[in-house]
Amino acid sequence: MYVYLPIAEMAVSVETIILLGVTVGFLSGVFGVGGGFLTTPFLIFLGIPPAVAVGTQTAQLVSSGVAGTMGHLRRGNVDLKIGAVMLGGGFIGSFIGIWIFKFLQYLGQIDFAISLLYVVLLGSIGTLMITETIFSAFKKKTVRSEFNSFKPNKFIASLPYKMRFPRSKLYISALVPGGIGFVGGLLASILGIGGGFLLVPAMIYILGMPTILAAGTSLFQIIFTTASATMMHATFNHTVDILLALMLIIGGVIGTQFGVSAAKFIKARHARVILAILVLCVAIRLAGGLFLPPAELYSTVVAGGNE
Amino acid sequence: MNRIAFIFAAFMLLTISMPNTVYGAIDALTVDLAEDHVDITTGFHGSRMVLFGTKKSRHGDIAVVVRGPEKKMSVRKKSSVLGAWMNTEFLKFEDIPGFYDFAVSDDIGERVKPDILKTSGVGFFALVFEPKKKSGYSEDEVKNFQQALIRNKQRERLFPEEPKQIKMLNDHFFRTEFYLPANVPKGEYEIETLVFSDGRVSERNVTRLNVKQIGMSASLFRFSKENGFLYGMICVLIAVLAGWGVNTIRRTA
Repeated sequence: MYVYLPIAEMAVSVETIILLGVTVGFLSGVFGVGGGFLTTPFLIFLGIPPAVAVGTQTAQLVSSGVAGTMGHLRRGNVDLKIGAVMLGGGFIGSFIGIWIFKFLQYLGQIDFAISLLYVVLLGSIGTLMITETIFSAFKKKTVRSEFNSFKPNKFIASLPYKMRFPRSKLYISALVPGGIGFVGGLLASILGIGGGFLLVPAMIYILGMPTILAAGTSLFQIIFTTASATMMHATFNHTVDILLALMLIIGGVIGTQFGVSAAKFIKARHARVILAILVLCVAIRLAGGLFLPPAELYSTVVAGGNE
Repeated sequence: MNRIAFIFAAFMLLTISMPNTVYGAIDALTVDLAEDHVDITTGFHGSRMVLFGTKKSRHGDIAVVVRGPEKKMSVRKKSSVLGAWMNTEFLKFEDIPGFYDFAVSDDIGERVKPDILKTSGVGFFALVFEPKKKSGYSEDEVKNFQQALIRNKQRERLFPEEPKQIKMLNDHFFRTEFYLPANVPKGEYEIETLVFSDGRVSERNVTRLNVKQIGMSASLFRFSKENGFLYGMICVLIAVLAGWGVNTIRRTA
């Protein structure tokens, strides 16, 4: 069955989009990731304009963010104070991100920029995850014990505007969580991803937050940065396709249910390796498009920018 | 469809039998579309466009040209920068029809000269577009851009790979059919029908086709453009509700 997307101004197969939503939902159920890194490239691959893919994907992330955060909130795994500081930075980041996006579009380089950023981000994160899992298999000591004696590095400790964050037992400059949120906002606007895979490690290794709080808090602030990115894409770019978002959300809802049940049968360590491999596969696929000589050197678009 | 054709044929016969006016040749060519509009609804997945016509002369070749709303197009060329392929060169073209297709009588080329077809805007020769302004590119480079533009349009099925056929139902009455794909640009289409006698245009008719979004699809499009902020808020609200719903299902499960 085909449906005509009112904003993308093209017809897509409903089954394909729902299936994509289900797959991404399944992954977020199993691994607790938003899955934006999978959706955006795939939508672009289907021929949906990058601007619409990114703008719409941010709306889907709001939905998975809300679903995930409510569970974390109930279990008390969200540091609301740090989250609030982060999303302050996140709002600014998503706002600036929109203008960077528009500027890249104007230059005719948005596809290139998206691919390149994905390759760099996913490639490095995937590699890190795999090597870390391999090394931790040899080390008897669990990684967690290191954080109890976490000392932020000198530069971070010297930053002004120090605040107390009792829930995470931290006394740290507000600029640090704000800065991490800022990066998250940029990523949401430019790439249509929540950026959890980047934010969580940053919150653990830079801020020194406990792992479980980092995951919950990052999801919490992702809701707001992706919501703000959605609003801005809708207001300034008019590139949020409500029908496409709806299909992705419905698929996601179904997939998440399967994913959550499946997660019980998958060991956390194995899950990490599978996720890492998946992340690397997407990175390699995109790197192929970036570095292999394209079949068609020329592309044609309705002229908007000044190229 | 048969009934429509029948009524049509009857109407056509009536028209033919009527006395010709001063410039009879022009009047005599009558063309109509089975549907004078294409509605893009949520279920739209491309549409056929059927054209009937009747010409005065018993002989003569027919050409039908469909042109979509014109747009500025930018053709980009990738080249390798430090091993990565990125758009490095651009050339802008103006007045590129968003859609172009044509139908001609069999073997029209044997009776009508290519330059006549070209100046009449019929066929692939007519698809030569000049860049917007003087560029630093050589003639060959410009040619590459021009060909790429057509190639890309053909891949999107907005330009034809080969001409459509014109089916003669009798010596005067003809029928042809085009296909508008799902990604067809919105706007007013111009359908020009030409009859060639002795190698020259002898009859000409222009009819229009309106391709527009209607219904929910159109309302959503308009709403998103006119009130982006509110539209965005609704999108976010739907997403929040869906997320909340997922959570509720998960808790009760």
